[in-house]
Amino acid sequence: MSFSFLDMIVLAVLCLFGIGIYALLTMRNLIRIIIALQLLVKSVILFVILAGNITGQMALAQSMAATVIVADTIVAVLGMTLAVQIKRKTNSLDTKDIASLRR
Amino acid sequence: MWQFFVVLTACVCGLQAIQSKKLSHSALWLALTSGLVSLLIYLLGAPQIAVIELSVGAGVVTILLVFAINIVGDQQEAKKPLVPKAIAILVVFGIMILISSTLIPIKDHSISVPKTVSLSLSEMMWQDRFLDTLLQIILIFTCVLGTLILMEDRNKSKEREK
Amino acid sequence: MKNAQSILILLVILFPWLGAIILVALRQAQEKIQHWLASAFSLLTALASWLLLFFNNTQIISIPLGGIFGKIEFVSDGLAILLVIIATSIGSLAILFSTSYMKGESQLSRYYSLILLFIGSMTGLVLSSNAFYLFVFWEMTAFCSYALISFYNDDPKAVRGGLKAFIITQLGGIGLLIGIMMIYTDIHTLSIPVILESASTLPTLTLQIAGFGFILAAAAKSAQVPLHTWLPDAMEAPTPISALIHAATMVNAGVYLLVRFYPAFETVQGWNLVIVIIACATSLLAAIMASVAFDLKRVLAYSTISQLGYMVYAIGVGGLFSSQFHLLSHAIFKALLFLSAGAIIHSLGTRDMRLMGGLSKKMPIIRNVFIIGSLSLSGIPFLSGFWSKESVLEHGLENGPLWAYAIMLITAGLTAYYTIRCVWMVFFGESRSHMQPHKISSMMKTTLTPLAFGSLTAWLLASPLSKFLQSSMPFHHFHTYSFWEPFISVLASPYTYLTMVVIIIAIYGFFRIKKMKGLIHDFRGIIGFAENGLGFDQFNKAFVTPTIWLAEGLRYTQTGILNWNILGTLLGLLFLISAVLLGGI
Repeated sequence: MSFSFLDMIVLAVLCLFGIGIYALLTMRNLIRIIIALQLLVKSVILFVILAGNITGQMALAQSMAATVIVADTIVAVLGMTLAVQIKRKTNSLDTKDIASLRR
Repeated sequence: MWQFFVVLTACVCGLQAIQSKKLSHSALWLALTSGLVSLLIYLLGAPQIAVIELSVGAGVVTILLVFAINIVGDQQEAKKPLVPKAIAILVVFGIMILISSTLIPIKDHSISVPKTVSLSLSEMMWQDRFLDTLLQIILIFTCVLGTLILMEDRNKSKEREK
Repeated sequence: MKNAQSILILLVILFPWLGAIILVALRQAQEKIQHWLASAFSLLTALASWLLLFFNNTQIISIPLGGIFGKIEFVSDGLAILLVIIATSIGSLAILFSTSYMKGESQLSRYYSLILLFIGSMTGLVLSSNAFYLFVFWEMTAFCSYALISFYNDDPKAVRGGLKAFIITQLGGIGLLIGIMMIYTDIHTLSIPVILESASTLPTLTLQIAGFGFILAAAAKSAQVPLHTWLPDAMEAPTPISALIHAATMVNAGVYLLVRFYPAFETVQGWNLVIVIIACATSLLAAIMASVAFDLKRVLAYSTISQLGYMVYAIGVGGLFSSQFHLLSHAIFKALLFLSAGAIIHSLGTRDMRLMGGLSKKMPIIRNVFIIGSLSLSGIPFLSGFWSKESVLEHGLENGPLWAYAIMLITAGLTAYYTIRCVWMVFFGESRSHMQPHKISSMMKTTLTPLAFGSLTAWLLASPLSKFLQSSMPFHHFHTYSFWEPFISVLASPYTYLTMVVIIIAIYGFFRIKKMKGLIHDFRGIIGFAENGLGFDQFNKAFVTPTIWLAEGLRYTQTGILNWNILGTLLGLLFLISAVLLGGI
């Protein structure tokens, strides 16, 4: 199997995506979940740039990737703010402890 | 050939980021992953996005994570995951297999997209997708305002109102 | 693009939003600064809107937003400028009134920023010349209305009222969206002048679906039957909000929508008839409910619904100018009535009219302006309500079905009845409880004066208004009048005197009501039924209760654990991708 450069990028996208999803499923600490989200979005950005490379429309792909980076950074900032406030209020960052929907 | 090692190192760093016991080490592994992904983006031919990804991913997010970890505390109590590991691995492999089976046709590079007039990135961002850029600016301001409001100490503001 | 007109248009929309953002950022500032800032922003916006009077034309101001997103377009034609001036002027008067009504309340910055956000969205709605962005502004006003109704968010009645208003107006929003999408699939443009121009080339089915979708949207927003139940419950809002949103501006958005798109839909079979039927039913039912209500704000709310029925009826019979004239005079006198009701409620502390009475000597200025507003509402001659209502009725007699005219005539009588009942119960007679009113602040009196002046004199603007509207709306047919023509035609028509007779019968009937105890006993069943909102609320409850029961039952599946939620999302994704792949293969 001839491994071209683009094949390797596809491999990287898949691996990072898989790692991100695995961490989202199994980690219980909120900060780790934010780190996992960052990895997930990195794989998506890489894939968008790959798509731009293949189809030749690099400018469109780059502006989309910029949008994704802005959105994901905002999610990270607000997520960390919320995590800090949750820690102040309930003194725990475990997903089981903060699942406080009243039954 | 050396690109393969970059890809491999990026995946290993990603794995370490979620696996290390201390949170601060996780943040550093994440920064390293960002740097390597940014190198890959540069190799694909998008230098502007590579710079943005490097400064944002390896800079801003890492610094914010370090601040948050400082406030929150560094411990990671190793508890049992809520979703059993077997199910998690099964689901992850299922999704990866399905996604790769949709991606395989791309490998033949047989996509024929009409080549539009190739614009530069700045033209694209500020004319063709102006609404996108405008909304991003509004979103950033909203985020700043939201963070300021969320970070208030509720007890102090209640005292001030009384 | 950078000329005075475009700058004024953008100022009228963006300046209140800037004020809203600044008030959010300054939410810890002192109360006086917040009052002052909100008043300054709203007054400057009102000034900008009055300056737009000089730019009444059909020129389209457009802001390009890139390839596929189209352009945001604004047009400041006659209809838009009328509603912009009403919205910003009454908005600034309501904010000035709030500086003394809301003294000492908590979370003032939230209140003022929501009002300013609302004023900006309302002006954007009427100035917009692109149907999709009209929808965007429509939804923004619906959100601001919901947030302001439930402003006292620890009162469960207010929260329920806000949610009810939001859900019902969203139903209308669906109608609007469907109409816009149907039109877009045929002519691939969303620009309103183009739609109006090429409306005759659209296929009939598109026009029918779009027309009735727009009627649904207008009925929900302007509280027409059967979507009217949210407006009385929205009276839990602070009174300046009721005056601004639910009397003078937002509820006019439905009427505006119908007038704006009238040339496109007037040839659709049955469109005019459905509008007339809905309007007549609304006016009559709302007037009946107002005659038996005991809460001061509810009477005014039902009165608003009834008068909106008049405006929609005028559209249905083709009297576009009459409907806009009635809109102008209604906005002024209804805001006057609501704000003075607010002054009464603020100083007495109760909304129940059965506990009021004998306030005539204790609150002379409020009594005077309230009576001016009520006379205008009932259609007593020579105030602006008389001229506008008679203009509507005259047009209806000429062009509409006779049974509709008869219903509207009876409603005019009922209007006079419930108005004089309201005035009597609040101001005259013996004081029914021992509540002592405290003094009205001078700011409240100052804001009521321009509105009273407007009620007395707005009718003089009839002829200039008609020319103003016709000069910049090429697709619509507004009747234009010379200066004295509308008044002479009203006075010369014998049917005007028929209306006067009906009103006099109603007023006489109120004073003789005690002698008619026997008659009232027979009507007791209907009166009881009317007090419960004529059964519409039972109807709503029948839908809402099973939904809530189902939602409570399903709540046990929501655990709130993040990892399980992600697992659910991923399993769903797995299912979807495999469905796509297997379907493809």
